[in-house]
Amino acid sequence: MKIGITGHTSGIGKAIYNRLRISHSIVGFAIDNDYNIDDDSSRKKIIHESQDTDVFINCAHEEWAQVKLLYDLYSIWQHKKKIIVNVNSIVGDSLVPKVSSYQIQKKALDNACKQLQPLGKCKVINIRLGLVDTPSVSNWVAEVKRIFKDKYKVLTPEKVAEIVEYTINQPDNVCVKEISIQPWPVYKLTQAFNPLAVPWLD
Amino acid sequence: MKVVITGHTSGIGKAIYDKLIELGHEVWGLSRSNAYDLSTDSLGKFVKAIENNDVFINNAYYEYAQVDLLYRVYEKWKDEYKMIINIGSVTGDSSKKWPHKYQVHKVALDNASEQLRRVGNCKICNIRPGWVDTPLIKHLKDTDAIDKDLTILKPEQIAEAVVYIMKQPKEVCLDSISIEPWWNNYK
Repeated sequence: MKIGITGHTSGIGKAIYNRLRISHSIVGFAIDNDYNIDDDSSRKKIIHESQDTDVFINCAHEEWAQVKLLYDLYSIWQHKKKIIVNVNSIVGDSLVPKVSSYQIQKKALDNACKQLQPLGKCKVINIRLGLVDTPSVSNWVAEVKRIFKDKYKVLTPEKVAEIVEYTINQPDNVCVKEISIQPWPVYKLTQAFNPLAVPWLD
Repeated sequence: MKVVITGHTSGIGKAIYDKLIELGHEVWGLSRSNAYDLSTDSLGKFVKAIENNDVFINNAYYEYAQVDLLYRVYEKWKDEYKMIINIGSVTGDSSKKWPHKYQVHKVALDNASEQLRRVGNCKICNIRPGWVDTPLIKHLKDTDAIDKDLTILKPEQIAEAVVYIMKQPKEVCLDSISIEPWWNNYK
């Protein structure tokens, strides 16, 4: 398969890119190679250059760019036998009493997927993650490691890459349309931290 | 692993049972065929048969019995590193598809799982299939309740999802997988 992915140079995107390039042709779009998903013209360029791909992995997060990218790409792919994989979060499931644009944007991506899934031929897959060990939340992950040592492990980007591969490898007549995955047991994390102090919800 | 499953003699349950046996697991089935009937027997009878296993696959459907059984088994397993896999449904996601109390029961199962998995060590994983080729669906097709040409999943495809969940490492939990036949919606 030919695959396009945003944010392929770091964190989850990098792990997905490295795993899938072993057996697929994959093209990455990131700041490092002059693609900025937050910029309208750059986003159009990404969509234009992804038209010959079979799978698009909507991985990089930047404000509302993931939702915009999903809608714009789906409007072109709706009646095509293609796949859009959205790398999302469970963060919107339990809204903490704090203004968090990240939560709202990820919840919007959930809802956009639910809205689009029944409309057309293009598969829209929503992968909803708990805490993953990535550079953008490195301080938070370090704190988890300090407190729990080896008793509680956050998700690895490589595990997420494996899940993405599982979803795109399904037969044509099957769609794993949503997966929610968390580090386990999650209650230890929620009991140990005040959600108001979670840095990535700022 | 020691696995126990309700409703192991037909449909999805049979496919899961057969697959896990094939993979070498020690699997116990609880069905009407061996005198376990969710519609008439006490839940205590089921809990007693389930509690000494590692994985419970809460498959058989009878009104709210799946939800009640989830709560009862979870009470026993809350502090243990065990796993409950609920066979739910996507049916409650859209009331247009099939307005029926079945939807309400399956939504209750989703919500109960969401509530419990934040409480203890026992993993709770929900598989939420769309239409699956089971005796129930055959009946619906025969009575024209649903389109005869509807694309449907095979029970074996749900069994594959169960295997995928079970093989995750201890520190990872697949909370839920929603799986639908495709390109069903496009027709």
